[in-house]
Amino acid sequence: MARRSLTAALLVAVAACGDAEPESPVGGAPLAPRDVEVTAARVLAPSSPERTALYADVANPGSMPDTLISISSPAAEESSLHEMAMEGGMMRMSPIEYLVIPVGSTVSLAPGGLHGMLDGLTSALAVGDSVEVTLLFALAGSQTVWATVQDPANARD
Amino acid sequence: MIMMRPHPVLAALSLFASTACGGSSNPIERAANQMSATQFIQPYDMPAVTLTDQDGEAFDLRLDTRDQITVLFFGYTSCPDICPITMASVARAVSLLEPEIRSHVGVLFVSLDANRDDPGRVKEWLSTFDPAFVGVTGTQEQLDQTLEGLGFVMPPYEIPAEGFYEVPHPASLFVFTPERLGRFGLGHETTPEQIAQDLTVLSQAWWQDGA
Repeated sequence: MARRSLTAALLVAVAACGDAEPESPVGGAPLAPRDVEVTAARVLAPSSPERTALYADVANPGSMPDTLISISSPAAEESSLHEMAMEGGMMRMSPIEYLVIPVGSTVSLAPGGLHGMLDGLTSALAVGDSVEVTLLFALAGSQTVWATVQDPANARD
Repeated sequence: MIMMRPHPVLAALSLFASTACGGSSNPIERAANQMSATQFIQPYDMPAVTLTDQDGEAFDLRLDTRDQITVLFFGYTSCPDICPITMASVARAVSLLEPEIRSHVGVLFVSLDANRDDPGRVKEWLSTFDPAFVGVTGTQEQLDQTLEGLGFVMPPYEIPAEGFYEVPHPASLFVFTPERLGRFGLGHETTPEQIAQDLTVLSQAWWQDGA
């Protein structure tokens, strides 16, 4: 099993570099099992018109660690991943390039911690609306989910 | 020259040791025992700084917060995460208060984003939470002075030519009693119900038990 997963990972690596190839070397077969599960996706009802935060739980019940590479949404011009850290009692926020989802674990994007940021919102988002969000993983590929627009006062519920 | 005080978290830890040893007949101390907030072993004086409120009027932090319990939060309106969640939690908390308690509580948002936030922007932002909240901002020097009065130093941060950037800010709510002493800190993760409970206990201690 482990060897097969490794092969799959290598194929992903090869495929990622093989943009010049007109045909996929493995035809229509999935390169890797889509093991990552994205649940509880939600965005805050924005209090400034420009941007808002995205939260979700990302579980990896599979046999290989996976990596969240990017997020995107038709509701935003630009999306990115951020982490928060305390420095001298001050909250700092900085962008991160990727996020590893270890085997058998759930990584939460949650208030005050790791989160996605949707920047340049293309429409007004009201509480109760749903927003399409796509999370791109190294192995599991694209996972598109609906994120509920949430009242910030309920963000920790 | 501003003397730096011990950091609130460290002060709170030492306080924990001291309160564990015995009760007190002081109403503030009794209230503290029923609150989820962290009590500072040495209260902070409200900084003597005059900032500008969301209507463009001068707001004297010491003068204009007298006779009330003040909940102070530092943030910035471009903040996507902690700031709106915390302000929304405070707004929910305030809405849970009995009217008389509510009349004793003032919420003060201090924007640390001297570059992007102006009174109009602060006003618009606050209106999404509770238009009765006061929001102030000022020059970087005034904001630094305000922060330093409460034991914080603004770390350097980058302001790019375009695109989003963060502004470092304390993640706690400060609670001041009417004599302008910052006595309590509440983490940003505190629930609206806990905040409301704390404000009720403190307000009753102050106005009914004769603190």
